[in-house]
Amino acid sequence: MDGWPFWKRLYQKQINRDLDIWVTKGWVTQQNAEAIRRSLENEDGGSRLPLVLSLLGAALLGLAALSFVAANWAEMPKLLRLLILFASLGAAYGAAIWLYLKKHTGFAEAALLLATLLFGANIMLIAQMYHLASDYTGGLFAWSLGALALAWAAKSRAVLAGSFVLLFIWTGTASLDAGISPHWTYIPAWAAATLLGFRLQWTPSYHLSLLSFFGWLLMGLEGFDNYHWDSGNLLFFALAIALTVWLKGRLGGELGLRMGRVAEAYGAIVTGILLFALQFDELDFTGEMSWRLTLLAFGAFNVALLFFCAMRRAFTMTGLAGFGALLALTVLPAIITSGETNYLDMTTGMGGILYFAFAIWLIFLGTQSASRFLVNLGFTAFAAEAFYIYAETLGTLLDTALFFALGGILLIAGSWALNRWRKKMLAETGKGEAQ
Amino acid sequence: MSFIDEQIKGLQAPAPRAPGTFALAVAAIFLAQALFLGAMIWDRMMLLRSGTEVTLAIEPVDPRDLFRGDYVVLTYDISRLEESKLAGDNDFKEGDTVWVTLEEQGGLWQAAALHRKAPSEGTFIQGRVDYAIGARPRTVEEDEPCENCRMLTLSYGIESYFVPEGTGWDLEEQRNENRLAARIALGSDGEAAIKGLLLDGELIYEEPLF
Repeated sequence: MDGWPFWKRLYQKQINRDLDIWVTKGWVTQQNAEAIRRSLENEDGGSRLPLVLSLLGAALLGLAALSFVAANWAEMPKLLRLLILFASLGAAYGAAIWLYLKKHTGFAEAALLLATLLFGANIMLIAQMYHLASDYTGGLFAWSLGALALAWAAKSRAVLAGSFVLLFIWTGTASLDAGISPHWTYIPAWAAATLLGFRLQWTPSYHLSLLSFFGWLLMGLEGFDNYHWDSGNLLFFALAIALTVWLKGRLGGELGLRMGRVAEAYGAIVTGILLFALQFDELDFTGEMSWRLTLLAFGAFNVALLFFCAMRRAFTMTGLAGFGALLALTVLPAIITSGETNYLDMTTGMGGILYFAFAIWLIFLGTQSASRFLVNLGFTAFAAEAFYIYAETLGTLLDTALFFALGGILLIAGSWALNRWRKKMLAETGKGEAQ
Repeated sequence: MSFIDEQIKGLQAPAPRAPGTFALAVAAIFLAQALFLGAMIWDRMMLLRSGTEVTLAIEPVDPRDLFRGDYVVLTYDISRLEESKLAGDNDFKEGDTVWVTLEEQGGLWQAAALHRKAPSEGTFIQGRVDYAIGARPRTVEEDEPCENCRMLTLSYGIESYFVPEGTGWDLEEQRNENRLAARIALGSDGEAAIKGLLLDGELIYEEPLF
């Protein structure tokens, strides 16, 4: 324990105090408390710190190589420059292999990360040497692909994380700078990175995968102008995708996959945000056939997913009914719209009612499936909608002083009631989990 | 266990690679990346060594945002072209690939025609349409759009010239005094590479192959 960092020693003291209290209260047996203490004693204290530092060191070395682009190396003959580039890349790979064979797997990861950064630096330096400046997106693509191939070959988590970041920068440059939008080429590369994360069963990669997917979708939305889709069309398209992610996540969760739980959380959050946006009055629609067909295709796919979920008993009747309603809401516009009409006006109060229903349904769904996340999301959605309606309507009815006074009382009372309800529901969730 | 469960289990492989496999796989990736970098160098070398040579005039440009770090932004006479004044195809859109036929006039090469496909003869350079500004009034006083005034802004991949640190400002001044020109190597498909820079007709920078 002597070699432990201070935060580990603080944690040790805290847990010893807590264990004494828990044993006194009868929550933990003396035997279990001793087992926990022994487990803590045997932990390899702070052993991850050198690894984290070595990863940061690798990143810094890589950045140093990248900043070499700006340095003056014109005095050096070209051949010598090229030799330096190839030798440094080879040395990083050699070090990775040597460290791995010596069973320093963490440091081998750091060397692989360094090699990835050096590969990118080499592409840029060669481009600089030969005044190749036109295809910046192509250079980024080559770098990302090199990183992804290495992540697959070495089963490296650090390089996989780097690949996600590089691929995202590549698609960002293609979408926003080069104007290639939607940037469909990104999807196969993203899928390859996601599949590797799934193979490695590495939770942070699930987050990276989902964040980058929704980021790509957001960057690419503007490009759907080419298909004559307006803001409302885009919102429903994104909603259909978010529901697909949610249902797939639910199904994956039922199959025992951690990625499923993560995907469900992201799907639910994005669905919540998009449904909220349905109330904004600047949404416009077109009756474009490509949009209708896309929504119908997603609708059919989502119904199939819902069917599989039902087969797996992933939902109660409340869950199924709610998802059915959400799917109908997403698909119906594709059927009932005709021509260039703004047919779906959710700004007349209808949107608010629907959103409250969605929030309450989320709370029930979370309670029934023992998901504290969904319960909390439901309460957040409920509170957000209440605040939105309050801000939109109350000020127009009363004068300013009364507005603030009544608003304050409502907020305090509302938050008190909401918190009591939330605690009750979370307690129910706890019972569900215990069962 | 259902079919789906089996498939999912088959996809998951969290165990690390065996040392031998790891070494071979990493070495293979190194080789592939080195080959890719080598191919980049080879492609440029071939172009610089065997390409057709033309000299292009460099235009003075707004100096406010041009010198960035250690490279000078180069804009050529052929970077902005008026469609109607040139032979060949027209109605190009942003993002289109274009081949510009070049003709020599007093030692410098100028645009003569625009093509959607690589021409079968002549000297030509391959570029991309960055902006296509449509018909509009030529001046604020005019109401009617000038139908023949479509202007294309093109890039050829030769718009940046990397220089030793601290020398960029001099080059920028010379460029803005209209004294700079670029010697360009052209491949058989029109791909371009900067071979050197000329000041008042004298070669001041030349790119060695190595």
